[in-house]
Amino acid sequence: MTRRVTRRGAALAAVLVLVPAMACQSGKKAAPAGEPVRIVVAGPVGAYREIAIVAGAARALIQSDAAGPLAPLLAARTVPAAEPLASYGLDPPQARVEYATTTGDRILVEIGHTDFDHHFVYVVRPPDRATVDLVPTSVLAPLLARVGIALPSA
Amino acid sequence: MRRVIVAVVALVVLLGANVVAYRNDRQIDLSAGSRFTLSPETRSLAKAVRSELKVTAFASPKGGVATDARFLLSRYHQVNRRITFSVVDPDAHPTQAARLGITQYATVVATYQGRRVDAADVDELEISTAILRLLRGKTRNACFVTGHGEPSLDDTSPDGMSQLAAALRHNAYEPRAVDLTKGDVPADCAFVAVAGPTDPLVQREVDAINGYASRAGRVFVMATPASNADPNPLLAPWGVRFAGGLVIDPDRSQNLDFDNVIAESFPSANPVTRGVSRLQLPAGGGLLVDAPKDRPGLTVSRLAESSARAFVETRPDIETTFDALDIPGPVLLATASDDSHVEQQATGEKIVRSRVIAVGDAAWATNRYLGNLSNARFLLNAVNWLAEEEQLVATTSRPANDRPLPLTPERQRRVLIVSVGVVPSLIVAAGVAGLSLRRRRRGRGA
Repeated sequence: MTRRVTRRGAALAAVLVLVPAMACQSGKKAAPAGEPVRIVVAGPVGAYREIAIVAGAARALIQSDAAGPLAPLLAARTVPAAEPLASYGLDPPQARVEYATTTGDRILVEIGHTDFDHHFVYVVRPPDRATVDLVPTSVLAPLLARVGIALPSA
Repeated sequence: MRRVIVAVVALVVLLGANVVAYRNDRQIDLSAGSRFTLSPETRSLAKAVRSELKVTAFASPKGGVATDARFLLSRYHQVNRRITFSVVDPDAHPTQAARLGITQYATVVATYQGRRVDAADVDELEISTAILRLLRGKTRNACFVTGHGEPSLDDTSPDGMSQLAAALRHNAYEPRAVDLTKGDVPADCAFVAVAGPTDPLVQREVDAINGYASRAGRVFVMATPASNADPNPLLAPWGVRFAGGLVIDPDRSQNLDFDNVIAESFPSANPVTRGVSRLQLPAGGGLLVDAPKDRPGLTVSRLAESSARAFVETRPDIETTFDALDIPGPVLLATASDDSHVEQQATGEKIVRSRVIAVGDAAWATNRYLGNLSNARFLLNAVNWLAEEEQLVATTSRPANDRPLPLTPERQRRVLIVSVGVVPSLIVAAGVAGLSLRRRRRGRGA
């Protein structure tokens, strides 16, 4: 009799503890996880026949030894385009990076202006314009300088 | 069948309890120092907001700042629905960030009735300071008399008063040095502080301060016995006398340093001591109340006192034991004088109110001690009382994680009595009771 009462008590206690705990868990929102680095354009450099930066009439070919930061081109963050693309300097973009692959495909990345503290540069890879990627200014500044664009320093 | 009914009833009760709990969002903050609850000062401040106050926190969604900002700002919103907030990612909203001139993460912008104040960080102190500034509408000057060996407001060493200056800035006061040898107290001073001069003030300065105080002025005097300066010409008109000497408190002092006094007695109901539990007043002198009988409008509040066993040692450089020359305790350590009277003016009758706070010590407000116990709160309460802004009570920093408990001789005695006397006595008593119970049972069994 005593053993049965003990078992019942244990079962009831388990229910009382577990059910509210599970309810609490289901009500919790997932904690924002650290965003992974996003690959805007995959590498390696050898996969591309030509990489060029274009700004208006200016065009600079990037030699393979200097193209490392562009292939792969990595974004530290991706944000939804909550404002018109012009807010990010992407309508029109101030420059673009053109990739010509060894298989004859072309990839385009549009470059906007720097973010609020100038640590990152906004970029998009068409046709996706719903999200905007943030690439470190230190990656793009020396390359954009070749087409006469000076980014503000952080 | 009965088991099934019992199980179903238990399940229904359980689900019902969960539904009720879900619909009634109640929280209890059991953390040390109520870290997740707004301080009473912040709550009063939030309640004083009369029209829409918008707080925008710019934070990256990565990391905990945005989460913390939402949590903290929702607490303000709960206290007063007029306070609304948003947490904005400046990378995703560059136009909004540019419009408000945001240049770094964790910046908070508060706007109220067309005015704007920025907070440098997303914490309660910074946000409450911003709200305080918005409500007040301007920053007021805290004027400090300098040139007599006072601790510097720019000095970040333990003997400096840079933390005092920072605390004032957080409460929308701008510390400012004034030279009274050449002119009167500037009209834009919220109060004048004489903070620990070691050299005497010249008569011109004393006259300037007394003249200012008598014309509804506000004066904060921190005297120090280790000084050639006599604060009594500043205090005497307000019913207070600095007895000098050195306060020795064998019961309430830091460890065995009997002149490092811990004040735990705050006899008045003056708002200056609201929320003040203990003060550390090292190497201070005593005060005496000496209010003139012909000043009915003058009231002197006894803000802080030592223990009854304390005394003012009048010859501390010779000996530190109580004798006939010393002043017996309890020793008065801080006072607040309020002199209110009605004056006939061209525009009619007007109440003229002068306020003076005196502390028989200046070291308590230095960087070494200001963060200890309730010293910072006392300072800010005093400043707000002087400026007649008790309704905008000081925003003080959250309680520190380490909560020091000064081991005064009085407390050491209590610990000794409990650990050596009470606890062993209870164990022995329990043993004797158990033994007698067992014997009684055996007796019954036989």
